Amino acid sequence: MSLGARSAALILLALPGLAAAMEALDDRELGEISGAGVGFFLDHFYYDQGSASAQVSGIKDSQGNGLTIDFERAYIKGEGSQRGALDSEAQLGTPLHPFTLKVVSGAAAPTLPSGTQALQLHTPTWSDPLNDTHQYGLWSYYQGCLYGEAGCSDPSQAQTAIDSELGGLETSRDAILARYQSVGFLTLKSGIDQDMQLVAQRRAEVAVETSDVQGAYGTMETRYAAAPATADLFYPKPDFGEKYGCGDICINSAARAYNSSVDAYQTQLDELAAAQKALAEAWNVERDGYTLNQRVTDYDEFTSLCGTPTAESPTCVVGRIQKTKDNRTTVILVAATLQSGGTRVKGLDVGVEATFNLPSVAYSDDGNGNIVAGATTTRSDFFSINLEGFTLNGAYLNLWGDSSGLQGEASLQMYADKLVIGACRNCTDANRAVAKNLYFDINLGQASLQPLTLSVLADGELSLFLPSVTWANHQAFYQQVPKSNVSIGNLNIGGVDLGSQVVRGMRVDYLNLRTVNLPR
Amino acid sequence: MLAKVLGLALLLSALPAAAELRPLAEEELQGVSGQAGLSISANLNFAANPAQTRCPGGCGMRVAIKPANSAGFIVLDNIQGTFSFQGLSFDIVTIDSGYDGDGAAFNAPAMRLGLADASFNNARFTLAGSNSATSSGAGFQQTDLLTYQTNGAVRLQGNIYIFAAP
Repeated sequence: MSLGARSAALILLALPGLAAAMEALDDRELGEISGAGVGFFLDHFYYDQGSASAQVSGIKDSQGNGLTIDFERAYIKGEGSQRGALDSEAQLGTPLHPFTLKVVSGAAAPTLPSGTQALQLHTPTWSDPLNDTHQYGLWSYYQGCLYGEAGCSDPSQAQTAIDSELGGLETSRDAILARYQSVGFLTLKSGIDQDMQLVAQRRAEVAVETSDVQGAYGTMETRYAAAPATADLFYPKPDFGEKYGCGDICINSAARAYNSSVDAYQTQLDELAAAQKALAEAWNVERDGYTLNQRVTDYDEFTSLCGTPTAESPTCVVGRIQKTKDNRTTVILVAATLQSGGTRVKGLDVGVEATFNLPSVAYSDDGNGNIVAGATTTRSDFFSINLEGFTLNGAYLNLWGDSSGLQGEASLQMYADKLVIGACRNCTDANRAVAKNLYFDINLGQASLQPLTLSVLADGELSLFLPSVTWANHQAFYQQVPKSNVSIGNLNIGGVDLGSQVVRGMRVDYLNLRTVNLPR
Repeated sequence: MLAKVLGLALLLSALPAAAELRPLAEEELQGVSGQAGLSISANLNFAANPAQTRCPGGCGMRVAIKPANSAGFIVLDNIQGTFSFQGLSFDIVTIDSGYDGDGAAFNAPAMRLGLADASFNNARFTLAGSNSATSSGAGFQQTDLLTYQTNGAVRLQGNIYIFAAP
């Protein structure tokens, strides 16, 4: 009896035991199960590629040469595995904080159009400050160093950092407020609006002069092409932009016409310079002791810090200062929870080591100044990526279908204590890129205004599409379509600390991604 | 042939399993509580069909998925090789302790799937986009994105608990 047949027999015999393994459920429990979604979590989990080999192939470069990726090592283990060396067991979710897969509508997916239901995959979600990815990610950015490592035992370091940032913003605000205190911000704005009329007028003049210069340059090019190699027997063709020596009295009409176009071009350049100077002067118009340029810069900065002023002595209840104050509250809460001995649910260690094999062509000089292609060889590049303390708590994916195809929206809430990227097989982290306190808050698609559409075209090509903002929906679009943020507490490349990095407020206005079968 | 036998066995065995998914009376439920679960070992072989000359050596299994209202299909193509595992377990358990107090608060039954080491023998598949569910016929078009292949034993352990979510 083959192994397969034995397995099948085993399944046949064992399945009646499925019912036998069930424990008693009462009516209430059975009633609760009906119609609900599915929750799941994993414990005592690890995956290690072990002795297996794995390869991805079929990817081609633009010349149609094959690229292969050999995975030498891959693992998913519990936090503390020392980059996969130890078989530490991972816990993904708990009974009360499971992954869930269910059909949602209404409050569970508030962005969905009315009457639409979506299939939702939600990762384990916590609301406490240490396990809510957004709150902990925010704190970790300001903290900079990896909490628990040598020299990083004080969680209030983040508070000091955000206090310093907030102090800088408030100093800027106070300086602007003091500058225009006697003027008033509504008067300031009205003065800017009046002076900007002159700027607008002179910008239009610059635009006209720029267009004239381009026209004159075009004429000069055309006439240069038609001009003779030698004019009037003695005058060789000059460099482009220079004139024939016979000037305005050339007998050859083409040479004369070209010379005249050089003069016309110079005249237009002078006019453009004059218009630009006039525009600069319009920006330097003074009112209340400050130039228009300074006033506009100050007004825009104040608006960014405190929101659009609505009174001569404006308040500061929205804008970056208020946002930073809100963030400060979160940072203090996380720091206090850590100080009182709070701990996070442990994350995952994930790693991949791979070799990229791709064709490489050596180019060389043939001795006559020509660069020629030599033999094609295969080069191998090692690449490794390790994530330590990786969590994906509070992320979700909503999927639904309508007449446009399969649609979705996703929010990825990824946090990792450490991301290590290396291109050397036998080296230390001093030769790698190490990012600590990494937080990815990536939001793709919004069900009502910008659904992510996945479809397969009639020729079999895959398409991923995010519709663009329109004039009709632009206000709602910029208010409601969620932005994406990426922050890194500290980035170190090759042993050099580059400090904290942050990208805030990214939003995709339009995306059309599709595969193409090469060569076309 | 082996795969067909196994498939038939799974089909037949699924019938009594489905028949069990009905409300059980209290006394029936009491009678089955606490007994052993199920252990599964299997060796699944997906062989290439040499008659299909589109793939070198013949094509393996093909799974085509058509996203809503799309003209074409996302395809897992040329699936072939052997996948085997020993001792995958299946059980129903009550979670009423552990997990930092979450277990006691949960206090409900869950289906437990115990993962086990697995091994692959030249297992492969190709991810592609295609204009047709089947690979025969005129006008067939397909863009292969990538091919994944693996060989050898991987180490895998853990329990997946599945239950009804509120």
